[in-house]
Amino acid sequence: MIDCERFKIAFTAGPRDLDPELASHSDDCPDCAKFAESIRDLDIKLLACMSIEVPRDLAATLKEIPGYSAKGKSNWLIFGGFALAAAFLLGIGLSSVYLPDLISQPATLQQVVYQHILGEPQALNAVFPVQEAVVNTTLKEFGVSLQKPLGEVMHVRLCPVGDTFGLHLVVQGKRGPITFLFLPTKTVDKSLAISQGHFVGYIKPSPHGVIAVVGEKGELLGETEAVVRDALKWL
Amino acid sequence: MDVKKADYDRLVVVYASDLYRYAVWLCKDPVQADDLVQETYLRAWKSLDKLKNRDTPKPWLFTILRNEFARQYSRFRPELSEIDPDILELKDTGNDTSTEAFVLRRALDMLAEEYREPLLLQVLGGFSCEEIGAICGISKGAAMTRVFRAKQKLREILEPTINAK
Repeated sequence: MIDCERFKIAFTAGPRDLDPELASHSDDCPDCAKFAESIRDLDIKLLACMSIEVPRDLAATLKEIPGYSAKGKSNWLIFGGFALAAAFLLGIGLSSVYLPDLISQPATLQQVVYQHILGEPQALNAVFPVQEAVVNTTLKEFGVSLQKPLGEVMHVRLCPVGDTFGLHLVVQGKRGPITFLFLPTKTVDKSLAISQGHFVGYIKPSPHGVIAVVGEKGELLGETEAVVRDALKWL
Repeated sequence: MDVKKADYDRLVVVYASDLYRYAVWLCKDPVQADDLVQETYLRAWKSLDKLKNRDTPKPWLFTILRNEFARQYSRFRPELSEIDPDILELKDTGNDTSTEAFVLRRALDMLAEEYREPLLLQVLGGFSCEEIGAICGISKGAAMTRVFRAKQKLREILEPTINAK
């Protein structure tokens, strides 16, 4: 028997940190369900209150930093150029001996997608849907908005994915969570299948880069993909 | 573009907005927050090779910003004024000017820093209590306690406002 007070304290401290047994307590306890709703309401208000407008040129300014930090180091660059040339020549010599052992194949896009999904287990284990305000804010920062309901979003975040970045979105499917990765800077010529363990899915070209869809075996991924694509409007 | 610069640009695109908001709430001044974020990214650029787990750079960046804030501004804390409501151009509430929103902003501002900071990390950063603990140098239990107390205080302050509606 789970103590209501224990649930309330743990839920207030962090819904994301709840273990599933404790999280399910509110299903059978109307008082705790009402309490959980009030905490979600508070979290939404807090997020809105803290969401300060970010200067438009912030990202552009920050991207310039490596250029500025390199200034004033021209002597080092000249020295570095010689050092680099020497290292290159040395490398050519060594590579003839060691290269076959050192070269590793770059990860395929399927592997990158799969590794990213495994690297964020909390996205697959989320117990509660993400608050609408969080969904809207994250989508907007990625450059899309919702034009239709998306259903229960269990996870949404802008993520570094391999050597690029993307929108990581997880919605609830019939057999489990379905992961969507929108990668605007990637391209593929044709659809690529993903099949790893109990996960299946695909990566396909889209008008905005590529989209990866991964879910449990037997899940109707195409139907869910149509709903998600229909719900998103690119800004 | 080289790999390091590409990695760095991704960190900017993905995390700069969250870091900026966190910085504004930490130092309560958008100009200083801007400087703080720039300093954070400068340090991140210089130490990018030391980033051990490239899949989880977010806690790393927040820790850099937090340390930089402590280094630059901690000695001036007694002089910090309340956060200027004018800088809070609310993004998702359509510039909510309701009494409740005003009260919440004031309440947040009045929270002791040891409570406000973990709350900021949870709400703005989306961190778990374990991650908050790692960033703040406290245990997961301590992070949970502080977030709980922060929300409890805010609920106590908001309760009369909600009841008065």
